[in-house]
Amino acid sequence: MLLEKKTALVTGGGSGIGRAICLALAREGARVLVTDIDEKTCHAVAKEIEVQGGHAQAARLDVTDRQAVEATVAHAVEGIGRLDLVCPNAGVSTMNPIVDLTDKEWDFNFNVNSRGVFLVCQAALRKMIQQGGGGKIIITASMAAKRGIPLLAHYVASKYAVVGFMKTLALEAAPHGILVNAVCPGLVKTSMQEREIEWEAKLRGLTAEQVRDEYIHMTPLGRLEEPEDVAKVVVMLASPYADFMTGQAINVTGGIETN
Amino acid sequence: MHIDLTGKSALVTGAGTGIGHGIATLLAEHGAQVAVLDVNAETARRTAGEITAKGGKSLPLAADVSDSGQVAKAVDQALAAMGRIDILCCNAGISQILSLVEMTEQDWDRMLDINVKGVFLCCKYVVPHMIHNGGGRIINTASYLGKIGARKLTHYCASKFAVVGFTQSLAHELAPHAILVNAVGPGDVDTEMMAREWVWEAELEGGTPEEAKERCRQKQMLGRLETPLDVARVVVFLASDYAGYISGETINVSGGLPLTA
Repeated sequence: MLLEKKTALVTGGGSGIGRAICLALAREGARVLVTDIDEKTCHAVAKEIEVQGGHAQAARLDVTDRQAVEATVAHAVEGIGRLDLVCPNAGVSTMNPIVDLTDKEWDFNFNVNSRGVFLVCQAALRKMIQQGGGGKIIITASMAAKRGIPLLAHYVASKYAVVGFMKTLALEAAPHGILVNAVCPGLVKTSMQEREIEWEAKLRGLTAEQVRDEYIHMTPLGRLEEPEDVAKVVVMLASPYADFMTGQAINVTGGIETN
Repeated sequence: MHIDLTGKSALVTGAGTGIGHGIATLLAEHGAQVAVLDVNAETARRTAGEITAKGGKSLPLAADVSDSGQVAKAVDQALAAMGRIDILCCNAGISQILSLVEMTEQDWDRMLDINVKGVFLCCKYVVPHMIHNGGGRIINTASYLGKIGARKLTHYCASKFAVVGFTQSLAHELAPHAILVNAVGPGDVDTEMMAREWVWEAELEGGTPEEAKERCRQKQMLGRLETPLDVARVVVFLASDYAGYISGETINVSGGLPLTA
């Protein structure tokens, strides 16, 4: 087990990539605090972990709420001991061409995807500096942090912001022995993707099947990405195998993105 | 779960010393059988001997990676001994600190021949076998200087940018064959090659090699110089099941460089 006795906090852990990260970390021996804006799902994931013989707790968390973020990080340390690993993973998306994009959509994407990452990372950094002994932060960015994508200008911008922030955080955290990296997933089979496929089909006048086929066709490895594909890389970044890596945004896209 | 490469066979070039030695020995520690290739037969034998002394399986091969005939022969020997090559680490490389105006065509050619043509030739002779075998992993040693330039390293950077580009292209080409192609971008790794760079730096900039080494250490974000093991760990990760959805990627294992470069 690669992460025995480590403690981890994951945001957006109730479903999709976040859930896969929680399960994978727990399988490697980590104690996980599963957080999500949806209280039911984060408790369900924590239960899944316990049933598999792992250790987990759950807490509802809206990453755009500073007080809630700070309280959750404080509680995490009380509940599960020191905080070794934080995975700011919570994210949202909507789709619209720029000519139709609304302020509400722009703010929604930035508040959760960028500001949410800032708030969670700040709380994590403060706690890790205070407790000493280093730590790791692994942010879920996106392939959209590396290229422009039609219909997702706001999402792309919010993810570019995350990678820029991550690189600065890596610089500031390094003297404290805290390593900061990001994973950039591609076209991952989640409920978020299901929504995106429906939106894209509608906006482009295609069927959902046609959009899904395009996604597969785009992927050199010839299949859609599973949340577990991302989680495995998060596990590696959390492990001693990545102890000399910081400030990196690793593409996990089945070969779509090489930037 | 842990990384278990038992039953896998690897070929690592430039494995007599430095990063290559680190890669070869760590792959072996994880259960792989390793063919150790180096232009220096003695160091290849030494690394292979270290692996077998610890109970692993290894064979030494002597070859200049820029020589097509030598590479072809070495690959044949590796296949004859191991039966297969699942993991190919094109790691052999040189460096040289030299201003452009002083650079001769010989300096240029030597750098590109070993650092780029060497990667091409090793892949050329191993890939058909991997395709026939239904899959594999190729992990090239690029550099963090394969994504950003640095003074007095024009040919070195050009060569490492070439490795990054080659890696991306080959990844696209081999994806349908279940062969994942990636690279690692090491930082300033404390090896014999790096020690020669500190000597050059001292000659060019003044001061002693020890002072150049100390300046290098001060530059590091993580408070210490990088070791071959730091790089090898990420190579092992890329060779493992954990990296099954990564291809075409050059992962900087550089302690944060070039964020401060």
